[in-house]
Amino acid sequence: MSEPTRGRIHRAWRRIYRSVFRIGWPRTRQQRLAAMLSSLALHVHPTRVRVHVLRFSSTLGLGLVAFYLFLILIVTGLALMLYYVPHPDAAYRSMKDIQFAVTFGMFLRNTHRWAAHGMVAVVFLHMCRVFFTGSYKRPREFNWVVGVLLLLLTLALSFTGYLLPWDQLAFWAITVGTSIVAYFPLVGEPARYLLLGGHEIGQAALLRFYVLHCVILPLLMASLIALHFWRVVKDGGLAAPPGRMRRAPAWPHLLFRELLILVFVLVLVHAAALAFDAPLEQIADAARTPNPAKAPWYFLGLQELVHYGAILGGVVVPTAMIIALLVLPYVDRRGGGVGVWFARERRRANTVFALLAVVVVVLTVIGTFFRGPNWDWVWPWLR
Amino acid sequence: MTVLFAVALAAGCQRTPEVPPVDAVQEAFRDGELSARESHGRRVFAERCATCHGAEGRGDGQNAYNLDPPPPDFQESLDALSPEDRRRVIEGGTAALGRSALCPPWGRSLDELEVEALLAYLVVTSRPSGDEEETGPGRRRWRRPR
Amino acid sequence: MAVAALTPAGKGQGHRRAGLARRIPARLLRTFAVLSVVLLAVAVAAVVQEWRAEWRQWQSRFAEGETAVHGGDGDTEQGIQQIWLPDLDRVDRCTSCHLGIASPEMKDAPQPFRGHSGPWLDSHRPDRFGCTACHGGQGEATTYRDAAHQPLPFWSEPMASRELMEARCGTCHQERNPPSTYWLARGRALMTDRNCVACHEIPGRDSEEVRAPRLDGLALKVSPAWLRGWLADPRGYLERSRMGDFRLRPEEIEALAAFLLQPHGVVEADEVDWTGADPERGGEIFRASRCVTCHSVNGRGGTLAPELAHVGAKVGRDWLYSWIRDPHRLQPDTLMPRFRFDDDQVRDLAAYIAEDLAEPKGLDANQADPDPDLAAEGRRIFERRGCYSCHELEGFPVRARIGPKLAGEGDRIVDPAPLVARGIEPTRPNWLFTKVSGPERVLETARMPTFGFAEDEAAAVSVALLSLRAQDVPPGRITRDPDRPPYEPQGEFGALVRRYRCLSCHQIAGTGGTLSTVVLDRIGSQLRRDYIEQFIQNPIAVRVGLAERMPHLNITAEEAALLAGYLSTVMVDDAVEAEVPRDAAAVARGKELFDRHGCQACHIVGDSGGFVGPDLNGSGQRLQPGWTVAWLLDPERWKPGTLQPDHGLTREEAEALTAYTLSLPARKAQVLP
Repeated sequence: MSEPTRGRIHRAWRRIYRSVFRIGWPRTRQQRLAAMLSSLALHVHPTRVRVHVLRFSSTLGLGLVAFYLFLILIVTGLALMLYYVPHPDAAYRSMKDIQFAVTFGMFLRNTHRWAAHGMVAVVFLHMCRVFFTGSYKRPREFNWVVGVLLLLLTLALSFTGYLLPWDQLAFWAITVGTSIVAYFPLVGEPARYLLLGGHEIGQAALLRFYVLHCVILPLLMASLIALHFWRVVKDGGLAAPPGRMRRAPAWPHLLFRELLILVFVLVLVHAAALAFDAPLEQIADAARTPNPAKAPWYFLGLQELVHYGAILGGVVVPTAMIIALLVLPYVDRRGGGVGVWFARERRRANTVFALLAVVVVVLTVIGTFFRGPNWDWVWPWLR
Repeated sequence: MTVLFAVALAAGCQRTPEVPPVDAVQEAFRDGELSARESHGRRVFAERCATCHGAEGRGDGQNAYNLDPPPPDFQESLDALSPEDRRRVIEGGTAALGRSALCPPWGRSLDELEVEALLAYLVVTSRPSGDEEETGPGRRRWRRPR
Repeated sequence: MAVAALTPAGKGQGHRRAGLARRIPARLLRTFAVLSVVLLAVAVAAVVQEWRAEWRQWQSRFAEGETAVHGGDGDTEQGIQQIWLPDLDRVDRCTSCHLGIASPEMKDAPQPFRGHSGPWLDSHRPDRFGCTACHGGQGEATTYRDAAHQPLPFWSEPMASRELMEARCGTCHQERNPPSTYWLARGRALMTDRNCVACHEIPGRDSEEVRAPRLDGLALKVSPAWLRGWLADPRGYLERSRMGDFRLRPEEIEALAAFLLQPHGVVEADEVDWTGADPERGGEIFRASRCVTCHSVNGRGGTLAPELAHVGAKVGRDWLYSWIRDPHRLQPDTLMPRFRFDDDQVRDLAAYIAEDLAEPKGLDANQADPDPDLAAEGRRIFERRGCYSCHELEGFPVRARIGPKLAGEGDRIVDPAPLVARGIEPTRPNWLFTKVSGPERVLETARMPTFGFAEDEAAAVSVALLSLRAQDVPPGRITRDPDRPPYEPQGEFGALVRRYRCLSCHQIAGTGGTLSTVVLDRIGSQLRRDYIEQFIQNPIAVRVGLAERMPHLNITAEEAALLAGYLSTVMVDDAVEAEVPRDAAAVARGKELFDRHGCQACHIVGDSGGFVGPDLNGSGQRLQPGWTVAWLLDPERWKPGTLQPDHGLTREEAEALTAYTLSLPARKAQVLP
């Protein structure tokens, strides 16, 4: 190849490359700041971050993990949608096909399943982190509210996805879950009717759950996540103690840590998918009530409460908890202790929250492991 | 906490030793030591062969003493016949091996299943009685390869 | 590359000047490197797991075998194989591993390549029936474990054992006697015998008859002591009792007895003058009439009718007299013929039975009449336990069907607790087996009686019940017995057939009993008219070894002529020719064939031969020649399961054998049985 030709090809390549990446590979400090600003994917980051928040111990990376799990769920979910048929006559069969006949089908489904369960747990832990580090305080009150909504959305996404396999586990978990909804006075029954498209779980319910799970809730979620991230930057970055103002450029320090956590999450989720198969029980059968019929595990704390009193567990406690979480940053207006784990000046608030969190966990564990037929107490190791 | 632990321990001690549950209906199907196919063979044998050969193939059926040559005791005679020859006798009678015509051909009356079942039962009748009998081929289960 | 670029290592002038930025710590870089390797490993593991799927390994092993045997590249199918049966809602991928299933030459190959045993695939083509419809198991699965070869959690249809598979046959094969089944056919027969259809609605069995004695006039028939004993334990009196044990408490028995012994309906017993009754002569009549063809005495005899050794202690003499004289007056539906006895014979016979067959058995110690005041309570028990489902009684509806419908019984949801408590695996077959063996074992308050099935009988009934699936079978796949109305003989012939209850033992047009192997449909083509006429009056068995023999009904000559005439002219088969050529050459050839095929092994000719088939001496007086030819050509066609082998004769050979057989002279002294 002659010299001029090579030159022409090189120039053409540069033109194309530059049209996509205006800055090129950033080498200087200015270029890196510019790169962060000019890229759609990167511009939600601040260009410089406080060194304090780069420490793994200050955030545990939980918010990021939750976001990555959401991305994994989107990708695997889209792949599963290629095979899944949302009709009671075909849904269970299509699950079997995914498990047994689709190449990587079982792996895909496992990944989706474990990522979904993981996301519920991680979002909950993320909320705990934010509380214990006092990160919801001014000016981040609104972002806390967005976060609470995201927690609810996560539960809703997981819950709607639970029905789709159309097996006994799905059917009865949703039966129990939606009957908890119906405990709400006045709005409960209509809400359940709206959700199921009828009084029983059937074709209408499956389709509604499918659309909610695959379209409506993910769109809402994505929008709220964008808002959540946007507000992080606009609220002055992640919370850190007032004194520690030292900053570092986001490129490469933040980006590398984000990449590290991404790889970590991928390893964890895929290893889980390799090791454990997602359960698929018998086909849904309205005539066969399993004993006990249990809601998805993250609602078992609620179900345990419902066992003590339907109104208490189904209405009072969850409503109170959601309202408390939503108004929390506006009620707790004392400054201090921001960006520090278990700050001394927030001891009382942290103790109360920790107690509540422990109660939630304990109730969930009891509902999951210690309840047998007729919701009687059982010792899991004696089964 | 200690109380809880004590309760858990007490509950743990009540656990009874495990006896494997019985598959009752499958036990009820069992025909002694015979496999399903051998058992089917025994029924076919009883229907078509036992009048001369005797229910156990000892050559002592009620019509045996009318026959010359008499039907043999399978414990002594069956080993001399290859499985192919046994089938030929069942389907074409003893005449198929150039012997007397007294044992008639059943090939047009029995279907393949019945012939296979008879062949399986013949092996049972030829075993020395009283001994531990092996499990029949129908009992064996295929195991997943490692 | 990217990692290298991210470690500035003195490249970025900017940081040094800013002084704020530090390098990315080496610890993080190491962690990143390790995690990246692990991620790669996980990805590889996922690919290997997929690539080394069981079915793929089996397919490559099969292909190796094919290449070894046939050379070159075998035309082995690659990829997951499946049979889709939309009408059964089944997808069977079994053939992904069972690659030799349809090849007869693979019959002895090791699993999973073994060819299917038996002739099954000829009648059940895999592309029409798949695998799991018959075998059970999870057809969608592509691993040994998931296919439910062994019981699998969350899959209700594990692969069935050979015996339980018959239940799956029975889902489509709704005949009473489905082909090539043993347990299913036995189970269905037992369910008919025990009148299951009286209490339960059973798909396909609804037209079955319920047989049980009418209870009107019971007080005239049985003693209170017997009735108490019977209600407490039917099998204590009659081992083969078709009635189950209702597990009644003593006070319930007392009340029920009080109710049953009240006068019901209009039944009158004859007044008998017993002077001059001769039990000894009665005994002779009993033996000469061959009562033991149907009845047994001390376990010896027929099984169609009850044991008689203890009946003298059960029923009253006068009732016995009335019964023998005309059973149809007391029980219009009974199987028992009305023998043509004169009154003295009836009296002697009744006296014999009442005195000599009267060994007490199963009687209650209490002989007193029950308190009539208890009758109202007894009536409630009679209603609650559904006694009238089987037994007719004035004022009660027939066949009340008090039990649940049995459609879907094979899929019913079972409560594992009672089985677990008994140390039995809580599977559906075991649940049904336990329930059938004793309903109280799964539900203490069950209304269903305990039928006292032997273990194998209970297992057979379980198979029959398991065949009643909840899911509808596509109508095109169901095979049923031909739906023909019950045969009702007409006119004078019909009156005689009913009087002598010919159809209790013989069959005409699918109606009737199976005690006699002689089906009457074409008897006119088989036997000579004069022989029929003579036989009806004096039935002498032609088979020496046969136990069941036709009873002496004392049919008159006129009646015999009428019956024989009707049978010979109406009960004929047009496919059977009337006459065949019988010349001396044919007789000689027939004799040669007779010897060559070893016929004397079973048949007596002259003074020698076997006891298996009919004595052939004088068969020319008995057999129609056309029939004999047709019979010899294809015995299985006329009588499935017959001991007459099919020798594969040509027509000419069959005619020659017929000529010879029918030429045999009758023996001088016919032995009377």
